[in-house]
Order: sequence, then C-alpha cells, then structure tokens
Amino acid sequence: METELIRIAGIGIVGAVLAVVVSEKKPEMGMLIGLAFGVLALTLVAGKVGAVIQLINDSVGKAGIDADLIVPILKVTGMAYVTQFAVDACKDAGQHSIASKIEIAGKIMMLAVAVPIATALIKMVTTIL
Amino acid sequence: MDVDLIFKIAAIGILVSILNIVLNKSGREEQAMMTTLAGLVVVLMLVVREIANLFDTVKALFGF
Repeated sequence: METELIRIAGIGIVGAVLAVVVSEKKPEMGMLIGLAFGVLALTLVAGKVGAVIQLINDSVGKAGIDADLIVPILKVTGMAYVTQFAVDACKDAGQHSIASKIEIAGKIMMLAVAVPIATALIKMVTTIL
Repeated sequence: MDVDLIFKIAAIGILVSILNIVLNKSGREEQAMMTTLAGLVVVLMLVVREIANLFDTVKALFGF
C-alpha cells in the first residue's frame, strides 16, 4: 500500500519535471504527459478501490439492506470519478467550456441514475401514509 | 503499463520539438508541421488506449 503511494508520488514528480521541460516547446505534449500520469496513478489505485467496494457490499449484505439501493450509489461514485477525470483533462488543455459541458452531462446522467432511489423513497412514504 | 509511458511521451515530445527546430531552420515549414502532427497523433494513440483501459476498469469496478 505504502509502496504504491511512494511510487505514485515519484512518478508524479518525474512527470511534472518532464511536463515542464516538454511544455516549453510543445504545450500539447505537456498536457498529454499530465493525462498519462493521471491514468497511471488511477490504475495503480484501482485495485484498492475494488477492495473497498467489496467491503461495502459485504457490510450491506450483512446489514440486510436491499442491494438495489447500493448499486446506484456505487454507480454515481464511478460516474463522478470519470467525469472529474475528463473535466480536469479538458481544463488542463484550457478548454473550460468543454469541461463545463462534460460536467453538466455527468450531472444529468448521475441524476438519471439516482431517480430510481427517489422513486423508491416516494413509494415507501406512500405505503406508510 | 508503467512509468515507461510517461518517459515515452516525453521522449517523443523532445524528439518532435528538435525535429521541428531543425526542419524550421532549413526552411521546410510544412514538413515541420507534419512531424508535429505525426508526433501528436502517436502520443494521442498511446494515451487514448490507456484512458480506455482506465475507463473499462472503472466501469467494471463500479458496475455500470
């Protein structure tokens, strides 16, 4: 676990230096180095995320909560990560308008995923009343 | 996939900028432009493949 963090930190420093060197002549290459580093770091971390999700699923199973309620939460989390990644990449490239459009698209999609939970809540409330 | 990817991109970037300078100095602006474009496309292909991998991983992890 610690070795991975040290690895990511080291790669980040090396990547930053390389990006500064390359950006002087080719700014687009510098941006791509940043993007490549982002992909690398997140891929290294992905295994740990899997373990955490497994833990959450196990706890939910033990607590007897309906699994259908947890799936959208995980989905929205993943969507948020993907959206943030794309938005940051676009902001690095200086395209703030594209970044904000991706953000809006992500928000709408997350809302669409979250709607079934809201309907379940409303259904629950109506059954109580 | 490893640190190699970042080194690769940096190497291509430096190489392309050197080629660009040489070609510009010898008065071949259009070829300099082509090398820039070719380098960009190569790097973009490298990065896009890895981004696709990452998104697939996230998709598999979070189940969507």
